[in-house]
Amino acid sequence: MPVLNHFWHLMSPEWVLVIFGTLFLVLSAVPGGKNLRVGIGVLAVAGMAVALALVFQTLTALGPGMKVPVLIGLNGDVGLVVDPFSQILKVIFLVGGVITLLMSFKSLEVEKAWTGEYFTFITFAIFGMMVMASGNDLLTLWVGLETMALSVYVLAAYLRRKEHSVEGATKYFLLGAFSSGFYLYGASLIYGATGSVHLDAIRASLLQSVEQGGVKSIGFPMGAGLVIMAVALLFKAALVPFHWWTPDAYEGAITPVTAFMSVAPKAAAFAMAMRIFVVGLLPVSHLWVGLLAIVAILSMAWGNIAAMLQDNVKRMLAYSSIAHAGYALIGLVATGATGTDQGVRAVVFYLLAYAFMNLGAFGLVIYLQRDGSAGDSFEDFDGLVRRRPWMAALMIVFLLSLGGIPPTAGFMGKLLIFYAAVTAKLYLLAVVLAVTSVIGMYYYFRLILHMFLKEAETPAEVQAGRPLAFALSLCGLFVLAIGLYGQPFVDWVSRAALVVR
Amino acid sequence: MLSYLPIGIFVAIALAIVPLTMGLGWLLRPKRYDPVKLEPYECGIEVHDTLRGKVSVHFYLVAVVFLVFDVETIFLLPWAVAFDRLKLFGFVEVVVFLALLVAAYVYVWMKGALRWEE
Repeated sequence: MPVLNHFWHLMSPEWVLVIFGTLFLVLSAVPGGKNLRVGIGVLAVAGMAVALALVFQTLTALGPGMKVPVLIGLNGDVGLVVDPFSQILKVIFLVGGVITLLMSFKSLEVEKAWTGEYFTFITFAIFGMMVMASGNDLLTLWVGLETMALSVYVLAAYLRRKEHSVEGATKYFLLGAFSSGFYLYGASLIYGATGSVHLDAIRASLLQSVEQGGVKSIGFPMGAGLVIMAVALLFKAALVPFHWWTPDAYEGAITPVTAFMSVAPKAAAFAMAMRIFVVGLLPVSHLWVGLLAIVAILSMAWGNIAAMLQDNVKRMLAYSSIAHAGYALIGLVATGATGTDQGVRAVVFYLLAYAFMNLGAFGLVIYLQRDGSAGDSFEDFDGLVRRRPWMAALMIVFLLSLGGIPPTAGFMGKLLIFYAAVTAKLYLLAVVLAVTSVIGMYYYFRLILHMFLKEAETPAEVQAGRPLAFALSLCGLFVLAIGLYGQPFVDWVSRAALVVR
Repeated sequence: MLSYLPIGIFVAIALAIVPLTMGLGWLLRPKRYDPVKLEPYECGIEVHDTLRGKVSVHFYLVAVVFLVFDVETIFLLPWAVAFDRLKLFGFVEVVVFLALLVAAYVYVWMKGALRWEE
């Protein structure tokens, strides 16, 4: 009875992160000055770069459609799998992590909040996300989810002397703990209905019931479990109506953590949701397609409308992130409606494009951060075009991308989502996507207007510093590259496949 | 429907038990009132201080550290039970697990969470 087969080296990126994270934990207890903490940060960037290289290496080693089990239990159940889908998402998490770390240096310097634990928690959070992308049974996925969530709760409360930070993190923690309970309750009902927590076995059991008794034979526990579990996943991805924690937690957290929270845990929640719904629950897609479609419409509508009403850039971007999660969810609905991988690929591509543009937009907030101000009011952007033309140009690229205007990554992402929706004959969703994108343009352009038309009365002196400038350039480069010449990225993402035939 | 009858009887008995015992107690017990009855404890050492005193946050820290290590070491039990079947893999896993625990312990120690003075 093998427990760990000979493909275990495919887990090497995870091992690297665990080893580095533990090392940072011990190092952060060593008494020492700021230099030691900065050193831990540099080491964290290096560790993630190593993990990123290893993920790329395993990705090239995997053939198309290959799914390698790496952790097998005594009864033969597969706990973790490595396939192109999981590896592409791990690339998104790690790239998000590296860019976050590069942007953190300035924020930690301004807030005078250097600790080693900061880097430890980011490393462990990304480890949890990688388990969420690879997990193949409901419990392994849950362990990954909790590893990520507990780390992010702490990061959200990182500025523990600030009321805002603690308030947002407390809301996030309490609601997150509830949603974890919801997930487990839903998982237990699904276990009761199908006799397994293992996604392939759940799928087989559901297929058998549908074949024998038709769709009507799927009982109430299965449907209830599915809905309850969906609540937890939609909560983590911050979708309406489970989004109430988002603006407060995003506004209170230190800005690089906000950027991180809006990109990586959201992508991880989508990875987990796609894995569960497409691998395990596709035979009962009639139960969840309508549900997720409603959530997507609510998120797109309310996210964009609420973002218009905000007077704080971080809150505005928080609501915009809710709207973007709504756009991405359309892809999952499309896969549920058609049973093809096209929707999944559109989601993965959207998450990739969204990571660069959203990290970049938050990066500009970090750029404007200075002693005594987070740089997150609209007035902070006044006259930026004349003060710092290059930075303003980058911000305009990110905002146009978030708005979905060509030639940017955001446009390509929305195009693929739109195409998936039309192919799946989800015309209502496609129309809502187009209409709400136009509404969304309003508040992105509001910020651009501040940069062009207003004049700052007392322009604040702000410095970027090399890591932040590098991270911003990287984001801008990729946003434009994906927008101008997206084919290689589309081809790369099209290796992701989840639908089992 | 009839198969649910035992559950119905069970629920009825469960609902009846509380008023029944309280009512019986009210009927049967002697009723003698005394100021001592209002004390938190009727016997034992007499209360000499308010309940809302301040407790050092250090107790909380120690309790959390104890709880974490106490719960984590319970994971060793299933491993011990399945030791013969997990073979070398299980052993290596447990060593990794213990190494992580030791790292956490070193962290707690160096951060001074176990120091009582100050």
